[in-house]
Amino acid sequence: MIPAAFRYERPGTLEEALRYLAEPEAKALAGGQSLLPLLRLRMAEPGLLVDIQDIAELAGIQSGAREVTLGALVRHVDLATSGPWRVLREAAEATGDRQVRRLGTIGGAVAHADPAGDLPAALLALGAVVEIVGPGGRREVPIGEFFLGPLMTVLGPDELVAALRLPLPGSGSGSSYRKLRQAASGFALVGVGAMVRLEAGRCVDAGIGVTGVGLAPYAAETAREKLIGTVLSAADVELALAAILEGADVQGDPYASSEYRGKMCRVLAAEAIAGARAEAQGE
Amino acid sequence: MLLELKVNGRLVRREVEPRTLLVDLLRDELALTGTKVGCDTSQCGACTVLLDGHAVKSCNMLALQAQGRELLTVEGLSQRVPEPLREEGLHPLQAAFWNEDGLQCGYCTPGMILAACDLLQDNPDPSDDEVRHGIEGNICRCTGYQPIVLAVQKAAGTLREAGIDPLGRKRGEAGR
Repeated sequence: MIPAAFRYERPGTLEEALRYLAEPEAKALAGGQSLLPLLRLRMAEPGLLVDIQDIAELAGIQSGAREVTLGALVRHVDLATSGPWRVLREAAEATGDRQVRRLGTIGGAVAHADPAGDLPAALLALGAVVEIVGPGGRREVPIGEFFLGPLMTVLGPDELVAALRLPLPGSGSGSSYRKLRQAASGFALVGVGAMVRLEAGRCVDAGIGVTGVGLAPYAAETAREKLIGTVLSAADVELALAAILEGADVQGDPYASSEYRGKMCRVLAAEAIAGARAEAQGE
Repeated sequence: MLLELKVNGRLVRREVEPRTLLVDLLRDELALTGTKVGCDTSQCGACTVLLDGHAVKSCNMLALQAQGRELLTVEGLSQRVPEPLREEGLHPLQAAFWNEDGLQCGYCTPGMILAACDLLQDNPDPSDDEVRHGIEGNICRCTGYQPIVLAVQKAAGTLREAGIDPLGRKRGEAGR
């Protein structure tokens, strides 16, 4: 299968890339692991592809005192080995396959907004901030407000995801990712990322990100709030998880009914929280 | 657009249309037909090649994305190990697939071997599960995978004894 014809540019700087992206029908290309299939199926027919792989300021993981910045070009394989949180390492390792992880990038995974993408669930659990650059300069969007629907985000056609910013894990914090795969494609039928921070055995901060369930990955806000202040006993977790589908339009398809998805979402969320808690306790 | 890259150690210069997929450049322009097109939807891994030493799916990449990079296809693989280690001219991974019946129709084999090549750089002694996870991006419809797993482990043993990685670099050198 051959993509429809397009022009190709490979800018070396961010300014140059933004100039190209301001052209009509322009589309950014990072690792291409989601975009290339769309091009070949002709579900996307951009007039101009802007290959951003050479732009140094979009690359690399930078740790500050409290926060860490993941450049948009950080590849899944690098996140799987040196991601700052376990939930990120596990979600990166669960993404695609070995070859896809070599090329796929975190910026691309976020901008593509697959409703079953693994990394969005991890980033939602961690309360990441999406740094966006465009012709009007920089803006920041909390990841919980970034995804609008299947393959839809708040990103404008002339904007780029520049980086993802997250807190660094501190003492008493832990996280994990659990996933039920569609056997053939490997995509998440359900995926849940969880983060907790404990002080003297009590949960003082938490985050839950859900993917594969609704029309877009989402943060389970009510469930998260219900975890805070508890000791994360089985009963506490069960109470919180009663609210995990709140606000989600739970999808059903030939692989999993909406009822089954909802059930498995609670099961995997309980496992993810247990995994996060175990890490927080140093187990 | 003008594309320059190295393929199996040779410098290649070609004028390509931007929409040319890497696999089509290899097969149609360079006549390196060892790299296969299986599914054309980036699921099956038959088109796997090494880009700067690491496995990628050449049907899921534009040729221009490989500008200035180095590619290795199955045709160039055996050249990477010293001559005494080649069995009838084959790389230890190729020889192990041959000896362990790691193939029947053989269509997935070049991709399998190059994915395994990537895996064994990271992990010189993988368990069954680690091999299966390592080749999860490659589909075989004949063997049931068991002889493939065995072949990868046999080749891993040969390479460990020789003290080299699958690309012929001494273990502990070459940045790994």
